Amino acid sequence: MNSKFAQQFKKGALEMVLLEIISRGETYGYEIISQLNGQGGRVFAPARDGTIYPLLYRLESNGLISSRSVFSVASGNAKKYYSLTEQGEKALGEMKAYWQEYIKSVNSFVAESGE
Amino acid sequence: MDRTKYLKEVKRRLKLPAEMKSEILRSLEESLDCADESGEEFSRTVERIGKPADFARDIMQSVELTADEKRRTKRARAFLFAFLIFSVAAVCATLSFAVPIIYMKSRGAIGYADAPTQIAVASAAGINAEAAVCAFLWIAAAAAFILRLIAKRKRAR
Repeated sequence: MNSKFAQQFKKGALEMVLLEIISRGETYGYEIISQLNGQGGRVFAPARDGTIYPLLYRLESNGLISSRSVFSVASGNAKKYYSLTEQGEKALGEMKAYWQEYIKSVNSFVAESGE
Repeated sequence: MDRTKYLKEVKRRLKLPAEMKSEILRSLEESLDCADESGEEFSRTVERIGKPADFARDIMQSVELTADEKRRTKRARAFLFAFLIFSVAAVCATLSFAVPIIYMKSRGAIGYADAPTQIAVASAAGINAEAAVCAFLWIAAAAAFILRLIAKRKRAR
């Protein structure tokens, strides 16, 4: 689904999903995108690089994730490994709690009766 | 399209503050390296991440620049443009003086001798017609160059 409201839903949730993926262990951009493609179902896959990089940049500049550069012998360039900061852990916790509230509240309106 | 051309095309299309632009381009290079290391053909990578115009559009849609970032981007571009115009003008001015002098010297014209001469020039020199034509041509060339650049940028949008 590519309608505008679906994109808006995705955008908000994607930030939380990225933080969750990074919280599982130090990782880099390509691996994050691969995980989204592997686990993201029809909602987050196919994940486009052009969508993910700006979000990672924002998360880092807002202090929610930090990075360290590791030189790659194979490519001759550096690879950036991201991990969650303390601030990021706190934000992720708050986001997840809010998300549960959110789906509960939305479902109370839109979930089919009898569920 | 090869990797170098892809990166160049993306770079040209990203209207972002300098530090954000360089980080996005770095991420792109890293991703291309990873794709290459995993054995993915470059043409397949382009299919996956999109052509340069599509990739840049994804970035611009996802990034949502703040008002301050938009202002900084515009200012940087204006500086670059002003610098370009100034450089072209400086080259034009230098050449419009240098070319006629070299030309006149090569013809051994009065006033352009290498050593002092005994020749007295009765009237004050007015505008050097050849120098003026030369300067005009250079300024016209610079103007054409700038107009072409503007048209090219508009087409790229």
